Amino acid sequence: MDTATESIRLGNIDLTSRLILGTGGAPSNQIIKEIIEASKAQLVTVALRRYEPRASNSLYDLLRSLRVEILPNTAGCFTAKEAVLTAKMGREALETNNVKLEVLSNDKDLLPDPFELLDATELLAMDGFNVFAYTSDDPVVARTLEQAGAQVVMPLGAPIGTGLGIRNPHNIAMIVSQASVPIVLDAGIGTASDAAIAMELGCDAVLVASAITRARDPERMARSISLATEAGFLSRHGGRIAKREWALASSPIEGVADFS
Amino acid sequence: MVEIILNGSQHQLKQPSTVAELIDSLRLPGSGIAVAINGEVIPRSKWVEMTLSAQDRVELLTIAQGG
Repeated sequence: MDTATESIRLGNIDLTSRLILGTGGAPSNQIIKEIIEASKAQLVTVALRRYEPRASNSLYDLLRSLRVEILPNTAGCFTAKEAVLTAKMGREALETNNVKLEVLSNDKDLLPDPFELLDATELLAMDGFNVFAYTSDDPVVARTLEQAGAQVVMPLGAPIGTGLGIRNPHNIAMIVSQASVPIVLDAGIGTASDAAIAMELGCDAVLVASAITRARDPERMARSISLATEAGFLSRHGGRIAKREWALASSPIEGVADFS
Repeated sequence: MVEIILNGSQHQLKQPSTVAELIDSLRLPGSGIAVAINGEVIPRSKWVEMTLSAQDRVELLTIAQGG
């Protein structure tokens, strides 16, 4: 959608930070606390898993104490049916209608299954959910998800956890240019420049998990990617110069000394 | 004694219990968790009235790290 304003609304959440933090892959809750603070993220994603009596240090309590918005995902679902049930569990657990909808095709590439994803998007949108649809970088699929009721479309830059950056920038630009809902680049970001490129392409926000949580120094990387996200956003709306074939001097031609 | 299947394992209830009583007995907070019974999500508002039956398959989920 490419909005130029400082704040952005995703689902029913107003944000000033355009970096959404995925908590997956963090070595500890302490690291999650540090990267939330360092990144200034206001929205974080979580998964839903079986309650484990021996697990201590409740992630839920930590996130509540940090006053961030929590976006439940449907990670681990491979069919629309599973994803719809998981979304409903997320709604009950967190009392939110927002859901990051993931319906994956297989374990190896973790790529979204567009057919199951579309079915789940339709069902959940009809049930009052604000669907954040995690999808491939296919502009046709992105458009179809929006028509099916997705409130946020989240194309991948590269497969989850690969850190390969944005493999098809032109597709992301096409998705942005045709969308009337916010576009969030999700998956594939490996380092700060990838986040800046996503924002320069016109994405409204980026979602980053592994690039921060699995970095050698997660806190430093959180700050780096946060700054890059903001830099990319400012750059997008600062109005870049047109590319030229040949040089154009920035110093004036007039008044050059004559030493002959 | 009522035996249910809680998150894939056998679980004994000393007496017939509601979902709310099960959650109390596990000393869980009421927030941040969700319950499904036999593949159906049980809304929070039904926890006090929904009684568990023998061999009910109960999924009790909480939030975990996720991207």
